[in-house]
Amino acid sequence: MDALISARTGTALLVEGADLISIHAGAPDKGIPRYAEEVPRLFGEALDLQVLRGVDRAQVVRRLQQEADSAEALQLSLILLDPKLSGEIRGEAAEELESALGEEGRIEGLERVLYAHPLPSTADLPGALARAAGHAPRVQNLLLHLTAFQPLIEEVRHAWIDIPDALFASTAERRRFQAALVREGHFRELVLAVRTGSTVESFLAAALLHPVLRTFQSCRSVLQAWVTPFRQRKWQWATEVAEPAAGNREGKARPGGTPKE
Amino acid sequence: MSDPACSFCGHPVPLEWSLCPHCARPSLYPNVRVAEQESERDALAFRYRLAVQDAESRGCGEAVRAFEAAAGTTVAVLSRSLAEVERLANSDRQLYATYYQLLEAEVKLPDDDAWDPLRRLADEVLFPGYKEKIRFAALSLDGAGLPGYGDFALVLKEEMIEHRASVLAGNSALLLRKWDYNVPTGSRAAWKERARLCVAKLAARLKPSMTEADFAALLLRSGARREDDEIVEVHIWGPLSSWTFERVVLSRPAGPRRLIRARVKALRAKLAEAGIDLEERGGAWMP
Repeated sequence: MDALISARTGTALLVEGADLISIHAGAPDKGIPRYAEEVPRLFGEALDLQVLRGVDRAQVVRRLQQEADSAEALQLSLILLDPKLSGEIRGEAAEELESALGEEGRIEGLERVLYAHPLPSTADLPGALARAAGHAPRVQNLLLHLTAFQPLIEEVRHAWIDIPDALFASTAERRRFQAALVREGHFRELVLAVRTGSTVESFLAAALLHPVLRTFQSCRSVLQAWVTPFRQRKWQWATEVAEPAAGNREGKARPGGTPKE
Repeated sequence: MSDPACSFCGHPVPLEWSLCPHCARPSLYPNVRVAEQESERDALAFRYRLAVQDAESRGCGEAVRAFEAAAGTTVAVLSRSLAEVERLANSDRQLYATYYQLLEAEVKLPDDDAWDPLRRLADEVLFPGYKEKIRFAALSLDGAGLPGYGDFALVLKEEMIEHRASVLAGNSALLLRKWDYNVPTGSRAAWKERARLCVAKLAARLKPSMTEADFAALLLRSGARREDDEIVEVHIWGPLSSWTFERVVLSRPAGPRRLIRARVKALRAKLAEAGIDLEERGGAWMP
C-alpha cells in the first residue's frame, strides 16, 4: 500500500485500492475508514506532507511515530533557543528534551533538521547551553556540536542554494527535493562527511542509491552539483574541526568542553 | 441563472471568481456569493418557516426563539493539533519559521490509479475552481471543537471572517455523498444568516425544557462514529493566522501525552503576546 503522512498533524492516511484509512500518532493501533472528501479536514493547512510508496501498515505507524517524535524534539529545541521566552519555560524545555533524546534515534532525527540550516541570528545558543549545563548532558552535547558545526552547516547550506534552478523541473520540485534531503538526513550526512574530510564520494554514492532521492528525475545532477564545492577542500575542515570522542553522537556528554577542544 | 453584475462596471462576474474579469476590481468571496444567491436564500427562508411552524405546533415556540438567538452568537472553531497551533503562533518568528520551512513542500501525488480517489475530491462540487482557498471550521456555541481533528480548538474572531464565511448544514465530506453530489438549495447560508440555517436544520429536535448547554450539544457533538458527528460546517475563504484567533481552547486529550508541559507553556506565552487566551477545559493535567 501507499500512504500520506504529516508529522505536524500526527496523521497518516493509508491508501490501498479504493480504501482510505487514517491512523493517528496518539492511537496508532486504531484505523478509521475515510472518504476522500475528508482528507483536507484531516491534514488542515499542513505543508509537511510526504508520500510513502509500497509500505505496510507497521512501517507507516513506525514512520509516523518517528516523524512525530522528531517534530516534538525540534519544537523543544526551538523553545530552548528562544530568547523571548522565560528562563523557566526554557529550562523545562531542556529537561523534556533531555528525556526525549534518551530514546534511540532521536538525536539523529533532530540533527537532520538542525544541520540543514545555520541557526538564525535570533537563536540564543549561549542561553540554551546555560540552561542545559549540569542537568541535561544529552542536550548540552547536542548544542555543543551544533555550535561547533555552524560554519560547516552554513557551507553545506550555501552549496545547496548555489545549485542552479535550471537543474530542477520547478520551484516546487526544488522544495520537495530539499524536504526529502532534510527528512532523510542527507544535509546532516554531508556536514559530517565534509567534517571528516574524506568521505564526500562515499556520501555521494550512498545518496545516489537512496530510494526516495531516486524518485527525482534530476537526482544525479543535483547531488553532483551539491558536493562539487567540497571535493577540493577536504583538508581545510579536517584541520579546523576535531573529531568528537567516540560514543558522543548518541548523547554521552564530553565533560567540560566543546567538540573543538 | 445569469451571473451577478460587478458593482463597479456592471458586467457579469462568474460566481466562482474573486475579482471582476472585466475591470479586475475585487469582488465578494465566491462561497459567500453562492450562498447569497436568491434561489439559496428563498429556499432557506422556506425551510426556516416550516421549521419554526413545526416547533410552535409542538409547544416549542419559546425554545426555537431562544435557540435562534443563541445560534446567532455562535463562533467558528477549527480543531487542530498542538504542532499546527505552534506553527501558526510562531509563523512570524524567524527562529521557528526557518526550520518549519525546511520540511514544507507541496506534495506531489503519485500518478497511479490508487491515488485517483484523492484527486477527485468532491469539494470541487461545493467550491468549483477555488477549493484550495477554503478552510473548514464548525459552528460552536461554547468554543468547543470536534476533538477528532485535534485537541486545540481555535476560536476565530468574527470581524476577521464574517465577510468571507458561509455555512453548510453538516459535514460536507459526508453530506455530498448522501446528496449524490447535488447540493440542495437552502442547505447553505452566508455567515450573517447562520442562525436561520441552524433553526432550519435543528428545530425539529428542540424540546421546551432545553437550556443553552443543550443548544451547544445540539449544534456540535462528537459521535461514536464519524457519521454520527453533528456539526454546522463553516467555510472560510482565504488564509488564517494567529491574528485571526480570538482565543484557543484546549480540551483534555483522550490518550496519555508526554513532554507537552514546556510546549504548552511556550504556546501560552506566545499567544498572550498577541492578546489571545489559552483556555483549559476538562482536566488539571495542563500547567
